[in-house]
Amino acid sequence: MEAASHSVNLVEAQRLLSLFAQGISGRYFHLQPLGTLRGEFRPDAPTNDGRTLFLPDAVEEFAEPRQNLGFYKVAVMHQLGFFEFETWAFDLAEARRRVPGLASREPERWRAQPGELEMFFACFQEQRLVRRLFGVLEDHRVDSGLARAYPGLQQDLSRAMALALERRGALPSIEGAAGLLEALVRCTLRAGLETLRAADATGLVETLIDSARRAGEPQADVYTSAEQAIRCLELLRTAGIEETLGVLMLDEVEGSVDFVDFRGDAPLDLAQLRLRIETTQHALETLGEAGTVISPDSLQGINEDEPPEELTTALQRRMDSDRGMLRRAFGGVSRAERSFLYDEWNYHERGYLRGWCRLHEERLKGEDGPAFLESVHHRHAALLSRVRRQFQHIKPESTERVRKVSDGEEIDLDRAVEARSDIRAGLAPSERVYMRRDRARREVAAAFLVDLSASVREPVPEPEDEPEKPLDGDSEGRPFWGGRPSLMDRDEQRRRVLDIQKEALALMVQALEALGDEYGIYGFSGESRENVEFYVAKELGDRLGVQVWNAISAMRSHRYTRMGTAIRHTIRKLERQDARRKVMLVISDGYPQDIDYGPDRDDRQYGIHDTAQALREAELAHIQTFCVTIDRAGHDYLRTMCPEGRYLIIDEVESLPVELGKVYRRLTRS
Amino acid sequence: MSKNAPMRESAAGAVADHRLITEPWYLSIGDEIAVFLAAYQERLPVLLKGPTGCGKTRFIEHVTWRLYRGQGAAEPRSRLETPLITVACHEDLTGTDLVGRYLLAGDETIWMDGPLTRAVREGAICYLDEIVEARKDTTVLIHSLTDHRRMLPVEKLGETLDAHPDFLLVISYNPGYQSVLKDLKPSTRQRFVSLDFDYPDVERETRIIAHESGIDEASAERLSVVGERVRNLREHGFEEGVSTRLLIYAAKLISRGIEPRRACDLAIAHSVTDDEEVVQAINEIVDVLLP
Repeated sequence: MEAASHSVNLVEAQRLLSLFAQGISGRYFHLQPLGTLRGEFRPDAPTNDGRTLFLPDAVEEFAEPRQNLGFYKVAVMHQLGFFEFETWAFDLAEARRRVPGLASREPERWRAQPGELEMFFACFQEQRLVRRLFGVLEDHRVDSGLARAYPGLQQDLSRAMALALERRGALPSIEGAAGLLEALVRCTLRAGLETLRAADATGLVETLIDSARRAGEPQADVYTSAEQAIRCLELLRTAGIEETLGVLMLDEVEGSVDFVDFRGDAPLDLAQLRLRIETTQHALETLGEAGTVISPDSLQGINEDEPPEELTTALQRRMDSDRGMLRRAFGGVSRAERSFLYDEWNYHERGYLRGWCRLHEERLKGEDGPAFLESVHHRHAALLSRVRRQFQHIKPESTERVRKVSDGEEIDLDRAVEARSDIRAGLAPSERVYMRRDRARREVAAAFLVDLSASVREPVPEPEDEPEKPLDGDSEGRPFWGGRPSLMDRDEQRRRVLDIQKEALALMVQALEALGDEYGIYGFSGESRENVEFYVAKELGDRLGVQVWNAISAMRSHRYTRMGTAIRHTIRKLERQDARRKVMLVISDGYPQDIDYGPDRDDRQYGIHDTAQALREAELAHIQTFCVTIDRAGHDYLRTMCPEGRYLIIDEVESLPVELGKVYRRLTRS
Repeated sequence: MSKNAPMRESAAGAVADHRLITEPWYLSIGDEIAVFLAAYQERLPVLLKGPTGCGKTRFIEHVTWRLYRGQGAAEPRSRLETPLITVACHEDLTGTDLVGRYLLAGDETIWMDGPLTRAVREGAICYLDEIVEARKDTTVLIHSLTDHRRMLPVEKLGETLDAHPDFLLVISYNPGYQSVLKDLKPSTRQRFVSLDFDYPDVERETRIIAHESGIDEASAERLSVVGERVRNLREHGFEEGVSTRLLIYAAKLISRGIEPRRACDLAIAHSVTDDEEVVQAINEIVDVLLP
């Protein structure tokens, strides 16, 4: 279905919004569509888990795209507001000091979720109602703070509030606790106070308005919201909370207080869940140590008199279940630093699946770089100088003579003669009589994209003859390099496809440095469309240093090969480069596959077509692509997948380094 | 740029002779002024490190003014016409450009001192801005000038100049965006006292913007907050964030009647990056921050 032209969808706006959020808050957030939220969350309410902002898939409520984007901005800012205005800084001990009437109350721990805020709610019989009241007031405090600190947000914020108000329908007569709660929400959405007063059948609305006003004042903090939440609770009690609501009927009350779209659902309890995982983990770690006293906080709900083994089991179980809850709630907790959404080509329907795949980008880190480099040098000394020589052949074309300069290594004879004759003729001669050699910019940006799927772990078929003589052998006569076991493969002495890929990269890197081309080195793998992994060994623009060698040596094989998504991500990187010529080399060992690459897992065609489409997208972005594969069966699918003449099948894995060099030179020849 | 700094195009690129008649305004961030004055007393060469547009050049103008024009400036110094000679280094800048060359004039050749030679002879402060940009042969000159010898070999004249007692070499260097090939060598770096610069905090930057552009304090503060937030995006294709200089440019455009959002788009967003999405993100940040 084609979306209306005025609508803004998350896939298109994600990078913009992500940059926006990072600029405003100084921290990076993953952006994820609400559709990916599972568990107890409302499917339509923006939320965050501290690292990810969950936002609607599309916004089309307003007539102008600009206004719909504005709605996204408001939703993002509201979630960021919880950080900026320190909702999470709530501390129960501090609240007891500052909030009147709270000091005498003890939280009923058995009912409390972990976390300071949840403890506060558990101080009251009407726990969930307090959470709701606090939530509304805190939303209001955050919005008021935003309106003050970000005057330019005012228009979008008012528009979002007006929409939320409109959606709540006409205001019925304000009666009972439920009516008061509704009045409070409307009040925080800037409903006309006169209208509220006119509809008031309880005579209590005025106090409610005052509570909201206080929570919205510039000096208000999270404890103000807590204090006013208690005040509102008293008010609701007066209005007959026992009769109409009662603790057991709270669900209905919550149902009546619909969430406000742009404000969403602040995950008060889940933010605290993260905290509990941390304390449990800490308790588990210290449990073994003699004389450790486990704090009651970390033992909530667990009997501390149990023998240590059972205590450990209980803690472990709880941590696992908490983690599971977070996973269920947020659909997987990512380790990666960055994530991106990409479309995928569905060849069955000949159309794109918008924002179908999520790619997680991660920097590779390691520490074996120097040893790895040394082993490559040992193994491929002859090859290295050969590759370097080959590349040096390209170089002469790439320096250029600059004539007619005022300072240089050589005299520009023509200019010198000219100057001489000018002098003879009594004219003022030019002083620009020199020339010099400058290294011309080749203006090539290259990205190497390496398949790190599980299959590259396969050992390489024994070569018929050793490519280079090893320096030494172990007791069984198997080679090891540099006088010690290979770093990459201590367990197995046989080399794997991955090792050769890495060595080929190492040789390329050194050749490329000589050439002065800009290049990036990336690996990819993953499992399922939500978890495409993208590993950065060297970013385009990074300087070559020990980190790069460390990163290359840290390349490991992982799981599957969702090639299309990785290629699309690489396109985005190359697009941002300012080079005349851009190339992408994909090095793989088999056809693209993943557990959900297409509706049928055995359907190879889906992945091949998606990859082919991604390669076409690269060509459209003026990026030349080339696929090198080590799969002897590659002829079947590469013909479908790659543009003609843009692929190579390598029979002997060991020849990869040489072939890669050849391909690169051919591709970048001007 | 101070008003009394006539620019002169030459083979050396942008060389600016500063006569420094009025005091250049500078807001101190830490003890950098005291450190510089102490270094000058001992004639220790100084390296100014920091991102572009954070006030390095203004700082050097200010301290030079103090030393050559301020109260208590010693007699020969206070009479020097151009106490500060700035060279903006670029990749084609050679040692010859700094030292000097023979020029053809009619049928004869005339020796023309380069900016460095002039400073060495007259006892001025020579400021080599972005020194790593210059060609490698310039480092040779720097070495002999920055150790106890304090001399400048002028090959083409076949002579070696002893530096004037008041001469001081100051270089600047921006570790952020230089490539590996252009890193400052330890043998060079270790000849200087290093002063680190960074963008000022919101409060100080507000004062700077207000002073330099003449806009009101509230508007200056908003621009300063814009700068703070945009710098959160440093890693996205512009390593340096937005400079104080650009914020001042935006403020100046605003003070001349350009609509504030438009001014920020021109002087900030489009000046720091070519990535259209980053430009748009910056503009959205500006949009929510400005009234």
